[in-house]
Amino acid sequence: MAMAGCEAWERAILDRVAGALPDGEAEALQAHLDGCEHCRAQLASGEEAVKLAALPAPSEAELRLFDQLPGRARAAFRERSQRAPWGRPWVALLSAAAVAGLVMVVGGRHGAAPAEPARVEVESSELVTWALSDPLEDQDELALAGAADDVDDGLVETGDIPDLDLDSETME
Amino acid sequence: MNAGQRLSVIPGGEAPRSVPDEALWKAALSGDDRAFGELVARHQLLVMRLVRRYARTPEDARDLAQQVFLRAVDGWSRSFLRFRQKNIPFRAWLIRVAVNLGKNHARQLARWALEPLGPEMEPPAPGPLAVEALEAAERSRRARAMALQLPRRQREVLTLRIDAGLSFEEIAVSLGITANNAKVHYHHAVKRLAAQVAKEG
Repeated sequence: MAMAGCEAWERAILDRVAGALPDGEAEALQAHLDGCEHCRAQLASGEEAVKLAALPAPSEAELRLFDQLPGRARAAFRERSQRAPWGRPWVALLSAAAVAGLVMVVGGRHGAAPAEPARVEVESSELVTWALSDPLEDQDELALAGAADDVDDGLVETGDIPDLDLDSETME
Repeated sequence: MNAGQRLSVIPGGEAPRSVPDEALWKAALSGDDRAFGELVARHQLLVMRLVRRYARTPEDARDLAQQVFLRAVDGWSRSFLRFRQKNIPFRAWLIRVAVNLGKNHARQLARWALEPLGPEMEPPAPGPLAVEALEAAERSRRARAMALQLPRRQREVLTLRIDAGLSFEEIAVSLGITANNAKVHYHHAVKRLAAQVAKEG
């Protein structure tokens, strides 16, 4: 049964589960735990959940596969670089400048004065927008994965959720 | 970056640890595959730890990790004008890409009704404890599935913490939130997970 004031220890218990309990609080929390079965159960419950959700250490077979990564990744990188040199930024800029120059030359031959100077815009990739984005809302995205059209959506997600109020949820 | 500068980064072999990631990153952005390989070697364990939760097999995890490194460089090179100004450390950028590619990979598996298996576990030896071991493995498998069902931020913070052992400060930099916010998300993730584990028994 929870003792009066147990709610005040919730944050410290969860900090201890996280392995991030400040040194100055460890002794006081332990003193409370020694006399509070309810909070000991809460601590054990949190630790068990984290232990169950944790991944096992990599096996020897996995480690051998990991060792292949640098060589394979480097080969793939070299192949991509050779296959698509236009993917490099300086090549893209030179290409864009060449195209812009060609347009101006051709336009000049036809006597058409450009309305305004040519502008070269480099747009960010969708991947980067997606990788730098934050969620619009805190919802279960995996549950939505069955929808036919949302696997690659969420590329433009902005904003961040505010700091959560720990008091809004209490441990069962 | 010209060829002479490239050679100064990696003078004919492996780069010394004193060469910062960002210098290797710049060399890789110019197409230097040795610099890219050095970056992979430095961070492969971190990335593998981050992506193996979302993979079905160890081979799948290795291939996903390779994609993380390629996309980390490729994505940055395509956005050099806009995002280079943010001065994000390479490691934080890498973590961010790994988290998002892992998420997308898991979503695609879910779309095909395939559950990420996580790392392969050794089968228990036959004997009186085999049943208990199998039950424990099943409970762990269910808890890992629950972790993937957590709200996005909670899932990200929890997995960065327990899979890669990142500090809340580094998690915060990688996800673009505050350290306090990261810790609060972790707290909520643990509470939710503990409640679900207790409910399932």
